[in-house]
Amino acid sequence: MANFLELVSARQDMILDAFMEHLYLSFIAVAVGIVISLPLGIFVARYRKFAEPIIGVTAVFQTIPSLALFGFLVPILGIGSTTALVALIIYALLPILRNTFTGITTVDQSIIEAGRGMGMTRTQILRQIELPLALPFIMAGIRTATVLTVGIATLATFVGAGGLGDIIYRGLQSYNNGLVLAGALPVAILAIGFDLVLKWIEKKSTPKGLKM
Amino acid sequence: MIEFDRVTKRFPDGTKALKEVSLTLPASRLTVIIGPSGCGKTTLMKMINKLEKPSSGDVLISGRSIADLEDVQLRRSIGYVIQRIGLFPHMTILDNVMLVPKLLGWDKDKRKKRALELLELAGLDAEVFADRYPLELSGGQQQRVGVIRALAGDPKILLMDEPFSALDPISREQLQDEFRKLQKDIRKTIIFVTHDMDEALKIADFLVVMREGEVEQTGTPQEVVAQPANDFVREFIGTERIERQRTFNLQQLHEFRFLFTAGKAAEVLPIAGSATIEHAFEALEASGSSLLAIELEDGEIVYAGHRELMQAALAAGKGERHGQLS
Repeated sequence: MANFLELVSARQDMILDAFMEHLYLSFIAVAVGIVISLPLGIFVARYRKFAEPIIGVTAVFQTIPSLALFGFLVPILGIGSTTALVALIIYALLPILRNTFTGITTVDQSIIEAGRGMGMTRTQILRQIELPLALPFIMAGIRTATVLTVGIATLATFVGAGGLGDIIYRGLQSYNNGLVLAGALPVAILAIGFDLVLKWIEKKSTPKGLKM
Repeated sequence: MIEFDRVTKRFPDGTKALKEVSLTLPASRLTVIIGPSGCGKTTLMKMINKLEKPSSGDVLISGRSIADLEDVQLRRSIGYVIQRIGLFPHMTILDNVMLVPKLLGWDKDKRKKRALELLELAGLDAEVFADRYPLELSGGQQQRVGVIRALAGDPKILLMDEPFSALDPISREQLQDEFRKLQKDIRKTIIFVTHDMDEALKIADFLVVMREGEVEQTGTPQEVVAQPANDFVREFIGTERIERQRTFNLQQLHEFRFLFTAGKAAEVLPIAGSATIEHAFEALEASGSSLLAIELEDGEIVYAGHRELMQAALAAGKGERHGQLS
């Protein structure tokens, strides 16, 4: 234990840098994931015939082993953080997309019909009814995507994008368990931290009238 | 006035929900469309606010074809109440009621004032209910909100799709009574869909009986009960109700004084309290007046129209007597 703390304080800067890189990769990947999946989810919820193929494609991406996906992308995008980000974004798509779709499509149809019958436009129904009622689902999707991304971002090291994976990998190569732990622990903390914050937001985003 | 001109509705799977329906629904009256499930009654009603569009034929409101009107604008001018609650669970009662005025672009003070007025009209204390959410209310309270929400934009036409059928029997009766009273004040053109004949007879000014996409009979409830157009209508009303009418028709008006009002409002036709209900119906039909002035045994004069006679008729069947109620 004492050894471990010594190791951490000795490599404090390196760990901190890696932590920041990791945070950056995860954050950007989830943010871009949201920007892509949320509108896409809204789109496929409205035009249901596109739902199956589009969600299907993202589900197929999800089944590719993460290490293999990084490997596939290297010949195309080279090494570096772009490759890592693209891979991470691909992984973040499915949970957000699927939850947005489910959230919107499970809104009680009679409520939508009431809105339509009262003369709301499609956009008004989307913004004032569907999205508020789907928000808890969407937030849950973002939460899943974030935790997933934080975990997979440890593999970014293999395409030279840094992150806490660097430290873990270095520890593995030098049979230094302390160093592996010094990389893995912050990953866990980051994942749990994100999870807690997003759980809180998820709770806050549940419309008040639904918490009965 | 709402007219259907040879309206046919064919669904994509080929089933015909409506077959060349031509029909005129009176303005400022409560029309009940009744029929078994799948008879097309809801589809017919939804034609009026274009939630369904005719495959062929035309729907006219006050002589204007609604095909030319913009969907959203048309719907904002027509109140709509659905069977399942249909209130927005994430909005407060006040926000729910203010929704259509908001869509219509009323300013905030005006729409709030309107909503508070309506809450009062529905017997819901604004201080208690305005900031609550729909799920905090009982089924009966929610549907009261549903009705006033539909009235918020002050529409001339109100469409109601089995609004009370999901309620328990006691709330349902209560809401029917309140609603009947409300209609006396507001005089909207109301199209009310139901499959419940007791409800229909209780509230309707005008009845449309449907089966398999076709109109079997139209008329006042009295007409339809007295002269069912065919076996289907007879069976649908129920032989029990028709029998009830036959026996009640021989009862004397005295027995129903509890139903009749003490003041008069229109041209009246005097009649003796010893006349039978059947006789009273006939006299009213023949005279063209809207009210009977009934002279009771004790010399008091009370007044009754078609509706009260009808209620007397139904009360007779249920075994109520004035001794119990007056």
